Amino acid sequence: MFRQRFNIPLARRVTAYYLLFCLLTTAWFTVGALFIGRSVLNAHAESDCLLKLGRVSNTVQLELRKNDAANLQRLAERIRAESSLNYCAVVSADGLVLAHSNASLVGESYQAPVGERKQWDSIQRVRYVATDSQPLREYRAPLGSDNGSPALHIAVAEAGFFAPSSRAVPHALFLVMGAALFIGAGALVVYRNVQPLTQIDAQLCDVARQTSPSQFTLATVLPRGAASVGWNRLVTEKMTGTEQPSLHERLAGAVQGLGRQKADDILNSLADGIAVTKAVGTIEFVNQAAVAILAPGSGADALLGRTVESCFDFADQDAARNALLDPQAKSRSVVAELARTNGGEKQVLRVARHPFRTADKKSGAGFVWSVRDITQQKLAEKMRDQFLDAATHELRTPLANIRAYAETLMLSEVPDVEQQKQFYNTINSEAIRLSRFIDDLLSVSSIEGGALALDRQSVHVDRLLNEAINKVRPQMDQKSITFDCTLPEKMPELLLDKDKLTAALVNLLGNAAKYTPAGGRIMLNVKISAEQLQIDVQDSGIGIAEDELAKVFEKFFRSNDPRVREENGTGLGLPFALEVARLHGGTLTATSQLDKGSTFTITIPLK
Amino acid sequence: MMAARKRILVVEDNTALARVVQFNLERAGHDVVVANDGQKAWAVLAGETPFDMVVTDQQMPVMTGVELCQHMRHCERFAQLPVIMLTAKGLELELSQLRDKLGIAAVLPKPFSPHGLVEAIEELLAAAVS
Repeated sequence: MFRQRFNIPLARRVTAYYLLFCLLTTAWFTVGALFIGRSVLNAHAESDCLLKLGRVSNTVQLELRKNDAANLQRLAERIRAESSLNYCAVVSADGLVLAHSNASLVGESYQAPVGERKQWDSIQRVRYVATDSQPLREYRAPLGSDNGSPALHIAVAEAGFFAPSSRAVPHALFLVMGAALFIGAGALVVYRNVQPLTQIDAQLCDVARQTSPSQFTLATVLPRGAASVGWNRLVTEKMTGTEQPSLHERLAGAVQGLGRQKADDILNSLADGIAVTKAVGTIEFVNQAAVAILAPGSGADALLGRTVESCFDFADQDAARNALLDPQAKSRSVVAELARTNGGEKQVLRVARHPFRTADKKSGAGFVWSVRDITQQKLAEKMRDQFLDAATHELRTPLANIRAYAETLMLSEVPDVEQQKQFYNTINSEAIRLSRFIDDLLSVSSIEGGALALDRQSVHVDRLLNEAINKVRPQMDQKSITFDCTLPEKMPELLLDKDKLTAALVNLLGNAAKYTPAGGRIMLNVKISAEQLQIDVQDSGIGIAEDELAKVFEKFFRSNDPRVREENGTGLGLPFALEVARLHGGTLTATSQLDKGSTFTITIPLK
Repeated sequence: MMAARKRILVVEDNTALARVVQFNLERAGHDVVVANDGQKAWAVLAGETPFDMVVTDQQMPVMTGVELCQHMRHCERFAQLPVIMLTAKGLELELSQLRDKLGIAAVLPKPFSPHGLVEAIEELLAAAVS
């Protein structure tokens, strides 16, 4: 795609172009200067000649007055010699040569030369080429003021093309040498500035020629100037994992220089497990983290001397095995995720293998392995995906109802007025449901972002409780659930975040109402002492299984009990309530018996 | 010629949504039976009277829409029964896979237009006849 024209290194190419254009410019200026100089010098020569003409004319007129035409011939010859003229002649008004420096022409009729004429008042000048091919300029001036007076003709050799120029040569030489000096210095500066970019340019041209990104080979250049340093940084950043030493390699290298003990200390302080296998394939070194992940409860001896393959269970994980145990990829780093059973517990590990280079940069000396336990991360991802599923469902279902009912009312005729009302009602309640869910989402994202902050105000506890109860009352009434409330006689004002605590309480009461079947019972018990505020929410509902009790406070957790799954929920209410209690410096705990009921207790210290 | 009344099975766990779909389909002149989850739907299908079409949700307790389809396709009787899927999962499901492996004729993401659903049903019923 790109022509091979640019094989010449960048610096030389640029300097060549620079010199070429400088030379062209200089030539242009030189020729221009020559021309100008020549015209100037010609103009000088012209005025010189005219002065000469004036002087000679005066001399001849004087002579004519003194001696008439007697000595004219001798004068003409003398004038020609003294003034370096080509010839000097006096011609009568009728065209007769009265005197001529070339004596043979005396008495002849004068042959007026033909050529380019110029006239200044009574003076004429003709430029012509004489019979001997000599270019001449002849000036003619009348020697008296009347028409009968003779005229003086003098001729000067026309300056050749180069004659005026030759006078300028010493100056020109000086100018040209100065220009050459500057151009040369410029070329040097240009070359030196562009030189560091040459290698970079060559690499980029190579890249342009490659057809696939895997063929790109970029290398660092000698750092000379900011551009090459920047290039080196770019190459190092982009090419990690190909030819650049990895963190582990560099660490291993640095560690080698630090002496054994320090090396061990550093490696043992890492959270990732590190193992080193030499060329033979058995493990020669493990750090503490590696032992903790791969053989917890044992020491390093449980791993040393074994092959890497024996430490992992590659059955059914061909992709991972092929990647990690690939004998071909000796000089590349490879990463894979593996599942492993660690004495009964399922783990997911992120294992990376990096080539281990000896001090003389030869790879194939062995491998550095890094092992990271990503079980928790994977679990969190799985829970997040579950949550996203639940969330999209919870968002789209009410929307589906709103749209379907609205469109039906729009397009179809619903003759039954009662039915119409029902439809409108459904739209309304679904909108409210959607809004509540969005509120839940937002509170949870504040927990996630750590943005949940308390706004403590002086709060009337009875008002707070009433507000929460009123919000849940409709649900309880609908299911005919009896509600008992035990409150202290004196309900003081306390420093609490009213909104958040109300929301947390609504969550607990709402859960109680949701998971208690019709006709059940909910009890709210509030105790206020000098030290603390305690709120118990007890229900006679479906309860929570023992193995799930600890998990109910985890974000997105929803019980597998089908009775729970039947109800709408996101698994966000309890984590939110727990966070509110914690922010107040208190706790939220739960006790429960399956099928009998549950009790949730918020305790908030008041000191 | 007036089209015969077709029997359509609607499988949806959200009662409000099931009701409005039923309303629209009955308006369009069909007979509708509603089931709240895949298992109940299967029981209804197994009954005497045959159905001409199934409209089902995906995320339901006990048995999902996809699972219901799988059961149906393994049974000779329902292998050719046209199925439309409504789903809140929208376009996250692999449409081509659903079509090829389960013979699901159309997928309507929620929120959907009941009008559009009725049109899709009419189209499929017409195609099934011809």
